[in-house]
Amino acid sequence: MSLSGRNCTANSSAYSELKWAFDNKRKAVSKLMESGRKTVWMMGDDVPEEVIMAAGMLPVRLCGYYGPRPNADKYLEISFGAQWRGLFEAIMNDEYAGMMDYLVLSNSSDIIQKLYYYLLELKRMEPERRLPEIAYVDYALLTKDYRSQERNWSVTKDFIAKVEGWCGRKITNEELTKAIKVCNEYKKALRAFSALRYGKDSRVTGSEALTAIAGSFYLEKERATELLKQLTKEAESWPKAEGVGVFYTGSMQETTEVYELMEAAGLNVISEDKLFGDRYADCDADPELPPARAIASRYHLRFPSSERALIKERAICVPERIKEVGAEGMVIFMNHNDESYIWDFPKQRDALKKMGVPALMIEGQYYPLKDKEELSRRFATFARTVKGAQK
Amino acid sequence: MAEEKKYETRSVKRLNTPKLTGAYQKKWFMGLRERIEAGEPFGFVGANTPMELLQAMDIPFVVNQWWTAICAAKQMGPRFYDLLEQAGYRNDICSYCAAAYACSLDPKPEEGPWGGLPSPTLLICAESCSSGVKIEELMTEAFGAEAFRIQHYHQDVIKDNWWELSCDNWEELVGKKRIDFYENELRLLISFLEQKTGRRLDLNRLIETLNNVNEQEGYYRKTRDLIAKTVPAPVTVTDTVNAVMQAQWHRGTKWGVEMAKSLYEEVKELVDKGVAAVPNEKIRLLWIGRGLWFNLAFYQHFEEKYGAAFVWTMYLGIAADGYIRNNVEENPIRSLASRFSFLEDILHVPPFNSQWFVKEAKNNQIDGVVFLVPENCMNNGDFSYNIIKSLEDAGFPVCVLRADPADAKKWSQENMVAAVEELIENRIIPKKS
Ligand code: SF4
Repeated sequence: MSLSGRNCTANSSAYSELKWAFDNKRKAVSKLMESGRKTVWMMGDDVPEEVIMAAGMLPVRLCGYYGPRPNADKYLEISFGAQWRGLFEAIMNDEYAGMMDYLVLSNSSDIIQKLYYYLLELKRMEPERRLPEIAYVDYALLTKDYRSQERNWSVTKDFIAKVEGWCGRKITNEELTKAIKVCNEYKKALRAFSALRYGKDSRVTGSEALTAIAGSFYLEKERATELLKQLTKEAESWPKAEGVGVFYTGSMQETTEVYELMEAAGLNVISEDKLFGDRYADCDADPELPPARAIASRYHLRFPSSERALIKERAICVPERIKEVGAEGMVIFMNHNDESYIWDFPKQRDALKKMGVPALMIEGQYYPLKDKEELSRRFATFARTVKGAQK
Repeated sequence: MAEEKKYETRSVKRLNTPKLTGAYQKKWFMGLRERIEAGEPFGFVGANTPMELLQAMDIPFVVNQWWTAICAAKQMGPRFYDLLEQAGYRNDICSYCAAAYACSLDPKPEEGPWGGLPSPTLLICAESCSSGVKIEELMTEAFGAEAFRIQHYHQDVIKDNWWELSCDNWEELVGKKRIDFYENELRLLISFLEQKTGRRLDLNRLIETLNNVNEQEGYYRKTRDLIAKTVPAPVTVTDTVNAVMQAQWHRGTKWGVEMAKSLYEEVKELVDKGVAAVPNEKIRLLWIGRGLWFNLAFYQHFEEKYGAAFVWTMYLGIAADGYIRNNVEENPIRSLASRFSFLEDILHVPPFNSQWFVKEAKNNQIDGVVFLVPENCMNNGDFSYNIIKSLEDAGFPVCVLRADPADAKKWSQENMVAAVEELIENRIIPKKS
């Protein structure tokens, strides 16, 4: 039985405001735009929004479009999985028409890098579309050695210069420091809220967490921080969230549909390594460092994503994280052709087996979901397997 | 849907050079085992990595994607991909890049092509796709090798007609930031190779190697141009792909130059004598995508019935246009950096790819294009829409085949023949008449 729509959330004004932003992203962004700031939309996990804020511009997280996707079908190969298709559609259709001044993509996955080239070319081919000005943040994310660190410093400096070109003035260190502080405060609030998801006494369901975390992306950071703090206080006394607590990885979920299916089948996502979720707040920019270097380090040092990490690194980090959050199982859910996780899986599965943590791998998924019943059945079987493993 | 093979997969060989390159390659490979047993280092490299450095340091190496081609040509793909599945991976993704890793899982490795792939001691990889990085990591571990991963910056300056800049104005084409970065990567790679192998890179030898590359690729350019302007064509792609790929593997050696020259001279002789590969040539086709190594006969399938000749693939095309870098002496490492920081863009980044395909289609007097889109490569994203549109807008009808270029088991001869016949009958013939 789905746990979404619990009374505790319905009675929370903080949750309602976050949910409103989550359900009405377009309206929420329009409201933010009333301040007159230019918008800089971000695609990919690693666009340094601190720089955009320091410039007095409005960073907006691009979320995929969940409806018909004729543009994606027209322009993209089948190698672009469902989530990527949604992001592309959101840029190409009318959803945010006229609302994008700039669009920044980051080197967070191979497909985003390809989308960058596609969009650049579409801008040339079809100028009538009025695509925004496009930029790319080419961080080295696979390894954390000095080579990558040095490059990431330089990429951050280049990005600051690019944004300065957009806003027509120098961005000061004070402005960067202030933006870092605001973002760190916000992430701290997110982490405190997420802590209530962890362990056997989880107070928050995966779908509630996804709603609150992703909803907060579409509010002013200061307001989001306030709401999250209020929500955390309230959620401490929420009834326990039912379901077997699992760690989620694979294709990112931007809507609650899959999490809700899992909840209805007796699973509860208590953490994930995804931006729409725990990964967003995984790492602060060090306020003691000069701001540009602090920003570079924040993206350089974050939790390794499957798309930009070695198998051996994830075979250590993922089980550690699972232990840390007290998950009883792991679910890898992959959209069709977003399946590089396949190469990670055997080593992670073996490491988890030693910890007595079962893993479920689901492959070949599409949007819209093709067979919800089959998915529900597999989730329910897995929930029973995890419970069986505990006995 | 896989079908039992009831069709010819071996192409008819018309030239002598591919026989020479094939025989040499086999002999070289057999000798490789002895060299490794004698304690020499052995490199395993991606096709997009600067193998010229290994060549100049006399470190023997095998190229990942070309090894896949050999496995496919020997019809061994299905065996290897099943090994991946047995190890907990899948037998239906990344076939083009995972054949060598699959070999490492083979309980009877000696049954692989030419006695099997010896265990490499060094892996040189480019960070080009997340699955590729993981497969290379698995290989490194399985072979007990040491790996060097080359980073690169993505292209941020789009220039039209890249081939007009690549030989002499490569700084302008690739951009200072990208070349600076890649040059530094190469210097780190050289130190890695020197440390791990105890060999040293002699810059004089590197210059000689790079000059040989220019000479070798110059012959490919002349060969490509000759085929382009000669109707009916003296040779088709089945005559050139192996000769080019095998000699490209030894790019920068005197032997590589000789083989490129030999190919050119053979083609020239055919032209001079007025010999045509397909005497009834009526239609000229261009193939975009990875080669169909397990079924090269496919390219000849349409010759008799339609007089349709495949005259172009990227293998000769990219050799002709993609590699030459003049003014090597000034800074050999930098010139190599400019080659490899741009090489992938030619095929995968719009509009470099689409403009080039259109240029090649025009120069080669092409009537239609067959575009193989690999269905099991998650990194496949060349903006096919744009390639197809650019070609069609320029008057070249395109047919798309979705297939796995490495795994014969999944190939449907019937469907693929039907798709090309549809292109020929419904789009090319009516237009020509
Ligand atoms: S996704 Fe494509 S390029 Fe990457 S490893 Fe797989 S087959 Fe190779």
